[in-house]
Amino acid sequence: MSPTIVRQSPPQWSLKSSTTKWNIELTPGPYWTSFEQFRRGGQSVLDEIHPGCVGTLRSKTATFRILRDEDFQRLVGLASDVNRLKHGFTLVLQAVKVAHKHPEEDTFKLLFDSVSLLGDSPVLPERDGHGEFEIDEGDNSETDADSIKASEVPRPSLK
Amino acid sequence: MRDNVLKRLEDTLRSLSHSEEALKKIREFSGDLRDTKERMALFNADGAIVRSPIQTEQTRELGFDGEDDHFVLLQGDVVSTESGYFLGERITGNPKYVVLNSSCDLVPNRRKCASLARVKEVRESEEKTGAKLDLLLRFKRSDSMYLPVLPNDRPEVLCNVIDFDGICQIQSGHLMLANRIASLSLVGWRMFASFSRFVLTRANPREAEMRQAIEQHSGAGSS
Repeated sequence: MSPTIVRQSPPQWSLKSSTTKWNIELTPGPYWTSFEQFRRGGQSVLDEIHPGCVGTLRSKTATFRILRDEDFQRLVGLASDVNRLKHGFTLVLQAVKVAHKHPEEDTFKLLFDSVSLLGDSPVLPERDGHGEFEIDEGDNSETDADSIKASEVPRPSLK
Repeated sequence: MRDNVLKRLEDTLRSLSHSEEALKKIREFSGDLRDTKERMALFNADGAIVRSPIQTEQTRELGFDGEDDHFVLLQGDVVSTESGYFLGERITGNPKYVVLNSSCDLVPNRRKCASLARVKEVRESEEKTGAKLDLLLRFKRSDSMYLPVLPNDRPEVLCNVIDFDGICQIQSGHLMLANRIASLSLVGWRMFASFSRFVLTRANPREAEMRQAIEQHSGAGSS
């Protein structure tokens, strides 16, 4: 009888799982004391707002912060992770309250388990980008486009 | 009586609910074009599949100013966000997506969550780029729809791909804050819908036969 070969199926999660390498290190950028001053500067003043940099516009009614969209998206993304963490901490807090009110073996076990859940995963899983588009052997394709360079590809301007 | 009525409904739906016709038509259309360069020239033209994000101000000027006409995003919009999740992992690195939800679900406070299809890039440095472009521009993979390179993509990007293999999730509130990169044109939107419907409702003809057989068998058994 031939030995059984156990095939391990690939994990469903990303092998590139990581935690964010981006820290919230926003630095202060240009500062405008009126909208008129900001407007007179034109496009060039916006170019001074580099990635990781926050411009400040102080108008008569309020103060506005201006940052690049990539930084904004990172902040919103981190905020969504913070929400996830809050749910985890809520669970631990509830377990603490129950253990305090009913100091029994079961409630301490619940507290221990809920803290362990967070302890096992002190960081939240992330993956960098979507990965590569891959084709299979079974994909029936021809290769008449091998010579196409990215610089030759027409780009829609979307204006 | 009830069985007859439902049978008539099933007869009516048979050619509609799981139809592959739309995807076949797209493949036929693209197959009739000469080669990859001609396909690329057509689908990459300004406004061909993608266009600048459609703004509610623009549509309002054209008379679409009713209560239900207001929108922040539309189905098929290409967006960038770091608040999307795939299999429990948050995707970082400025990733792109296409919005799967119907436009009417994308109104603020209507739905808690939204679904996104991932947009992958094909880059010049990758292997088999010619084969990939050929495959995508002839729309031969039902789980992958060709999307042109977009204006702010890095110089080495040859094209984009909407990946229907696996759906991402995002909270609607975060989606409303995503960076809208492009909207789909009318024909682009119809092509996108053809792919999404096919991916979600594709069925092997044997499945219909199998279900019919099991219902007939159950009916015979119960009588």
